Amino acid sequence: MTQQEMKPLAAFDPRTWLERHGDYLYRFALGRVRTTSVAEDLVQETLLAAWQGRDGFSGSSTERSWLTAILKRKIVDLFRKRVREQATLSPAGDAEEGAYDPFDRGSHWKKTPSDWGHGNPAEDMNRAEFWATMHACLDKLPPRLQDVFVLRYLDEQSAAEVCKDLGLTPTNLWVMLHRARLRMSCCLSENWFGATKREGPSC
Amino acid sequence: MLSCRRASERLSRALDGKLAPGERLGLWAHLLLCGPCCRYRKQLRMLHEASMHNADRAANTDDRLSESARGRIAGILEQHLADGG
Repeated sequence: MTQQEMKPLAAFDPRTWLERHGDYLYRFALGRVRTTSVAEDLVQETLLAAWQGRDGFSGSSTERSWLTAILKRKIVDLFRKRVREQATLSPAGDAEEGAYDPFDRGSHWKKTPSDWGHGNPAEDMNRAEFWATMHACLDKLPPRLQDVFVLRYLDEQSAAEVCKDLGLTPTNLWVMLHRARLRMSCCLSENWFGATKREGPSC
Repeated sequence: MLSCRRASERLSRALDGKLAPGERLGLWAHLLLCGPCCRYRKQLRMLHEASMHNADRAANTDDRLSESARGRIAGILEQHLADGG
């Protein structure tokens, strides 16, 4: 074997990817899927897909950004599959997703949304505790709302892309994002911005 | 007059796409008179910003692949290398 032929093999050794980027990819995945075993599987699938698609690596991006792009596709694929599976259990799921309703019969707020203005958002976002609260609130979302919400902000996908990925109509998607945001606002109000717990349905 | 329920829906939708001019006007008129919805708008903006920020960061934690997961993944990669890809 000539030196030229050796080169690609040396450059593409998935064992070094695992060593160099395994923890990074794992943390990235865990920030989105929140389940250890699912995040581990995603890392494995990513490295395997990268190995199988190694000819597609142009060298114009870094190894890590190339691997991260593959991981993002894997996360999208997973969410797409999950959301479609959950769509078949629709009636019960839909009722659960819509169960948190902060409006009264007259369509007014049951309780005035709390004022988040006393803190500095940038300061909040520099604190690990803020992100822990954010993730705890995400975890409390019904599964499909969680997947849709996370996917919407993964790599700043446009709403149209999310619809295409998940096979949803724009109206479906808007309803789900709206419900997720009402719950997230309530949860962050109670757990980060110090609002008192409200009576009625929990968010 | 737009209800708070409808106003909150439009505030959310405005983050994902463009509202029709009439919808925007109705929302604007509602927000002029409604303190609670103005607060909700502020909450949504911050939630939106935080969510976008979150997308950029690989959770800034000490989480690492467990030794067992690392071993398992390494084993599967070895197997694929041995099979020639």
